[in-house]
Amino acid sequence: MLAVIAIFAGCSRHVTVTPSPHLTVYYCKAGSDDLVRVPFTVDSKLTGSALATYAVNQLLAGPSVGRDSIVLFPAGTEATVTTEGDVATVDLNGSIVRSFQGGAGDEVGMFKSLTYTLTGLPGIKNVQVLVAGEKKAALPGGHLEIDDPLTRETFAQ
Amino acid sequence: MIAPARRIAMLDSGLGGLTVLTALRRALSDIDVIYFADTARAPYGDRPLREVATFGQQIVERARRYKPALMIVASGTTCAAFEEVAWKPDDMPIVGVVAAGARAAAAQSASGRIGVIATAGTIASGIFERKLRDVNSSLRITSVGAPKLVPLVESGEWASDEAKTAVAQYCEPFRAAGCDAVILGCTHFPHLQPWFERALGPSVVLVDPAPASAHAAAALVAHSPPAQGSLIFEVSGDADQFAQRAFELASVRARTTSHVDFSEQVE
Amino acid sequence: MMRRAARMLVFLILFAWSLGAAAQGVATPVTRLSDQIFVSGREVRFEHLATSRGQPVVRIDDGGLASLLQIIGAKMQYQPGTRFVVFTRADGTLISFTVGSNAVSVDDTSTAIPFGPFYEDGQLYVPLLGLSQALGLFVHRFRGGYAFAPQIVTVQRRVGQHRTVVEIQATAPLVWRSAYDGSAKHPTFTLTFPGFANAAGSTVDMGGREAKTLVIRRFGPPGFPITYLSIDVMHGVKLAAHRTGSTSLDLVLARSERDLALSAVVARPSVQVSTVPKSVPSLVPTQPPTPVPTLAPQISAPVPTAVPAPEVTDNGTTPSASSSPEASGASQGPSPSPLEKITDVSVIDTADASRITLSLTGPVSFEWHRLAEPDNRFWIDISQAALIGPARDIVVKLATVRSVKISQHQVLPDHIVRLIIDPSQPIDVSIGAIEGAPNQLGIDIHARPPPEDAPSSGVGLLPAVEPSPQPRVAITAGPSHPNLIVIDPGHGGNDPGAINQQYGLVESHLTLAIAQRLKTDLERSGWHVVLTRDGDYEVGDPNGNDDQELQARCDVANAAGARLFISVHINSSFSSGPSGLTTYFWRPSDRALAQMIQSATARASGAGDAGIKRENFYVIHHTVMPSVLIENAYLSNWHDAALLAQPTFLDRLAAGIAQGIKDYTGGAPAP
Repeated sequence: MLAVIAIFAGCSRHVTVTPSPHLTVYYCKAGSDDLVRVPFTVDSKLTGSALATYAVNQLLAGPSVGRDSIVLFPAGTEATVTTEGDVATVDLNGSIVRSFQGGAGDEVGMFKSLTYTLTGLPGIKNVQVLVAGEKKAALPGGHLEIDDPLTRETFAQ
Repeated sequence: MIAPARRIAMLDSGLGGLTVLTALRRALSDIDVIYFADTARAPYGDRPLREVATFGQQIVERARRYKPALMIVASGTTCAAFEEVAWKPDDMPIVGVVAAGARAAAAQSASGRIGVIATAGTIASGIFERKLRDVNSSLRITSVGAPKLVPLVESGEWASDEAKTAVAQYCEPFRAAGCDAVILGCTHFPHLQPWFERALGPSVVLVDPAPASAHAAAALVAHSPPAQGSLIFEVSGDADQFAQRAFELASVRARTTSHVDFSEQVE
Repeated sequence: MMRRAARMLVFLILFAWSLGAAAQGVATPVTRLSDQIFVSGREVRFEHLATSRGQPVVRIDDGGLASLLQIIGAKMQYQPGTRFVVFTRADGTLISFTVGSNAVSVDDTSTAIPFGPFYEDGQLYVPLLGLSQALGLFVHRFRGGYAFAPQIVTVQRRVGQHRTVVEIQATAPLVWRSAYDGSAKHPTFTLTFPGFANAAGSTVDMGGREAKTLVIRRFGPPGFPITYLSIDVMHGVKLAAHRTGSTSLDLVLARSERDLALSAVVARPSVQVSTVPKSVPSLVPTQPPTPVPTLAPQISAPVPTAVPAPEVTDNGTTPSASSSPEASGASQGPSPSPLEKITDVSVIDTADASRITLSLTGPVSFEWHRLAEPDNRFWIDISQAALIGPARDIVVKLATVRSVKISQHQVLPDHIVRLIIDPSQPIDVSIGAIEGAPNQLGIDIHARPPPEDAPSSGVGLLPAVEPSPQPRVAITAGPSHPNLIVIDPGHGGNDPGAINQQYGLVESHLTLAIAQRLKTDLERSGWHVVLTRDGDYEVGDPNGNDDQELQARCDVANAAGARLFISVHINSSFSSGPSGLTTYFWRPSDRALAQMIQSATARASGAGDAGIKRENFYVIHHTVMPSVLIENAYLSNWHDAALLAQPTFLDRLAAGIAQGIKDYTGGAPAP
């Protein structure tokens, strides 16, 4: 199912896009704070937690082009996403919780792209990150504080 | 009525009143003080009260020349003596260290059981009991005369085993009576404070009448215009030695120190 | 001829010998010592520190000795010309020294020290190490000085029928912070004692009913030890901490609230029984410490319309105070309602406010007034209150405040204590209760002017509050140390951070190397510097979780009241492109600090300038003083990595950061 949609998104460059994008996934450029927006057309029946899950999966997978200059979550990262009210909760697991060895810049990039992507969904204002099911001050070995919900304001310069 | 000057006279038989002086200067740093030390006729504690009253009157007479706002009587024996002869100068308010200490103890005792420890003479005169009852007639007072303590402090043996044991023994009656405030009724006793604290425990308040009387005096001249902060010593015994000891013990220096014979008639 | 020469020779030899002998006779055993002394993490300046017989000695009248005693809550009693010096420790222990004797009596036990106090040139000297040993201080000798810290000396368990009590005793007034982590499988309760070393062992078996084990660990640099107790608590168990004395604490673990009350404790003679705490004792999870706890809002009451303006005199007394000849004390007869006493007045200064805290014995009502410009004086009248001690000045560091005075303004017909603030310009003042501190009235003087529509008078009430079991946040206890900078070398121990395999560079090693260089540079400029770690190990408990590790770094700076916190890291990215230096800040007010450090470091090191960024990094969020996190170039970039492999580059980075700090602060404050 996901593969089908991805191909669809890829194909959208070659055909006239009629429906307006339902979803924008934000990626962060490596070494800077700039965001790259990639629009996705999504089945309008996808809403709530299912839509949020889809968005995060796209984020984790990465764009199809320009991958070298974009911060991605480490390969093997798992995420379970639920939404309630204006909060999207992202429970991270897998390789990312086993001692993040990345630098501060990448860490910010990851969470900024996650926050912008999810807060771009209708009604979502806050992103609560969990690490293996628990609220943590930061990723193991990380710098950024994630125990409080992240908002776009958190990344405002 | 013209506001009195911020000038206070003090009377003591020796160095004991220095604790009142330092407390006074902490409260009002610019206060002028004339300190009368009757070291030639010390110690007062062993003399008959009438004799001490005469000495006191002579000193008050001398003090008049300075026109002080009031006089602090730092010697408990002299307080007792003035009471004994029922004498009080009409032109000079007296702040007695005994009454001030009694007020402070009554205020700080929750249970109303108050102890007094002083020289044998002061205890025998009963002045602390009288002043305490003036404040509150229902107080339960335990008095202990402690003749060993003054010589121990004077000889420098304030922290010897002897001193510790003596204090512990003297404090027994206070513990038995359940006193929660004990007045250190002699100016030498605050030197033994750690042993008193140890003997009585942390729930007993030790009342030092010196700061209490200093505050009472300071309150009376608080509204007076500021003075120069000068200090004058008038000493009946060896004046230089007195000034030297005063500096060693309390870091105070007088502007003038004179040797005076208090028994001389003043014109 | 020969005989005369021989006689001359003998004479010369004798003369030289006698000179030598005379020289030995006047040789003084005391020579000046310029070592640095730290007490509980604070530098204390001694005027007359010397060394004798290989040991540091201090003159009895040295202001440094008085400061040391004040920091640990001890007192000294000394009668000049006598042969005794007596110290009273904060826990009431009496320590007696006798001049010339090497026996010290600690309460009634006698111990031997190398030598006792002695007179030299008419001055009394006391051996510093012998004294600190008797005072129960932990001593750390380092090159250039000594660091002393009080110790936790007892941690023991007392089991009751339905509760377990942990008794904790120290040798100086206790300050602590607590944290409860109920989220893990085994809830953990931690009590942290900043500035205390540990002399109480390492584990206590808690029996398994309310808790399993208690571990005691010490971390932090030797000059500023931090001891913490960590208890594995069973589910459903509640905790309450009761201060039982200035140096002791009872931690009660029980399942029912009733069993948590202090009064249920078996009576110990020195315990002041406090009222039963009402609030639920399960304590809050780790919160970032705030430098000054928030004021509860004033209870609003109608402003009295016609308030007579009492004459505000300079010493705060009205002319109507009695000048009757019957002068025998201030109070005349009993007052109609109970008098509360103001037992203590203390001040905490922060950069933009000063808080005066009045400790009271109970609830009071107060009234405040503000005079219009150009007078600007602000005063508070506290009704039915008696001031313990004389009228006095309160020293407040705010530049706009000329003076603050407190006095017993009136005793008849009612007792009123007046506090007058005399500012050079209009100031904003908030008055209210202090959260978590019953019977304390907080008066915050802000550096800013009052709001436009601020009233010129008001009333308020300090309500009756039952003492809560929440312990005080440690940060309110100490003054700030304007000459202390804490540097945090990022990562360490089981967290190496980023790695460059090609050059064999490990982030945690590099951060330490830079931090150590920075420490040297700053100390040369007169700063006192503490590193959160000075080796390859974790700052917090190695078996603790990562959250505790990050908080532990913040604790070092917060508990010490440092002026600045600088966290040193090396950056890295999955992409080899990004390079250069970035300085991160979080609070908008720290932007300037970040900018100055960034500019100076980029300039000095030659590394690329990737600018300053604002990010919510834990360690710069949870330190209460200005703080930055510096990412010193990228291990993942080939150009930066080549630089990072050179020690001289690390020197330049450190020099740049030091310069940035100097640019921001204007240099270390004069001692």
